Amino acid sequence: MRSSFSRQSDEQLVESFRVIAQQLGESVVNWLPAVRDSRRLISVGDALRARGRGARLKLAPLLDNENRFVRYYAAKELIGIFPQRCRAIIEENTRERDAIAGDAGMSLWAMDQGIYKPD
Amino acid sequence: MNRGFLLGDPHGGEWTVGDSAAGRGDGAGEASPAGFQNQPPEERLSTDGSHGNEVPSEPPISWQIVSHDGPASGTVSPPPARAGEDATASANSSSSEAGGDPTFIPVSAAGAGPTGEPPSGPGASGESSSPEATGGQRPPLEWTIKIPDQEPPTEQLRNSVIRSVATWLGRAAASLGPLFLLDPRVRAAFAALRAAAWIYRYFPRIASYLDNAKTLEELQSAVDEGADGYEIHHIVEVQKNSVSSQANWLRFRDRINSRENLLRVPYWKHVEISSWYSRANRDFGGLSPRDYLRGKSWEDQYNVGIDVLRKFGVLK
Repeated sequence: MRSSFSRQSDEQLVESFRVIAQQLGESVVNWLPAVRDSRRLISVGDALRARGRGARLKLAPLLDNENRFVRYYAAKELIGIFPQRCRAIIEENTRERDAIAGDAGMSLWAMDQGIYKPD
Repeated sequence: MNRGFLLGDPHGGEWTVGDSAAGRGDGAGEASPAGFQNQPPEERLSTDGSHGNEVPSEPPISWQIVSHDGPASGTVSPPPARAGEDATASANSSSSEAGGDPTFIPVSAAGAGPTGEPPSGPGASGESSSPEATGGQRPPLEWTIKIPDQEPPTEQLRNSVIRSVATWLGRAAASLGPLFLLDPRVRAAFAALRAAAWIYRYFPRIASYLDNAKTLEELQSAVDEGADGYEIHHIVEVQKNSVSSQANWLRFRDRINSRENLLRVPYWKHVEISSWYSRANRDFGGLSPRDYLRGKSWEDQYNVGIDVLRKFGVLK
């Protein structure tokens, strides 16, 4: 299914990713509905993946974003390209005291179990 | 020694947050440091119950909600939460019965003298030996959360305040350990909470959210004991609203409500785990874990369910 994101430029997609990731993180830690934003974030990631590695790499600056949630979701998206750095960001989030810690723990678990093979 | 806070109720009545409210007796009033849960006596000084292996083990802390008139008279237990009942409604009921603004009163603390009274005056906080004061690496613990006088009109705003309070208290308890109740910053926090009556209704949920991880047996045994601030969780999800032939309640009719599959978990942990199952996730091919697990065996789903409980700090 083609989403509206497929019509955005790479730069617009990166900005969409940043905004949605921040909103998603805020919703998750504040116990609010987050299904819609989680799907939108996946759609943005898929739109970038469809354009190749060069487009995905444009997400890399988000690994240094000032917002913790943006860094976290960017790390999940880019762990196949920057495995060590992204894993460190995810591990860092397992030490927080909120729902993202559980999410991050399960993210590492899925990789370690082979359920998720980062690409 | 009991270390705790009393949440005063000017109309009388006493109830404790956690398992003791379900009738475990006064020995259950002790709780672990990262939170305010109550544990069986043999578990109170357990050193391996930290959340996700990150929270250092510290001596227990607990609190109680009691009458201004004194806990010895007019003891009333709140009705236990029933499965499926909205916990807010239960909390509202308790609050309305209590009437008036709740107050938080320290009743005793670590380092208290033989009388059980906490020391007072300069130096009583024990700050000199706190992790921060000794050059620890934890962030500062200043109470900066602004609690509005009136309950916020939206769930988002309300949850944000409650989550901030719960996070702060958890961090303070883990950081200060036995000095928690003596610390002036913690006292300032409770003073701020005392001034906002609306948050009283959410106190059982705040307290339960700070529970340390428990054993599977403890979580399963607690199912029969209902308590405010907790809900019943299915390790293998029921999927009762699903009409799919792959829905678990259809596939595993004989096991879905069995003892092995039911746990009592903190209310907001339950929300966090259910939300995790619902969200699309790159780790599961862009599917939600719920969709990823649909149609998988009982054992596969059970094993994931156990790991989820561990990662979210519910299960040891």
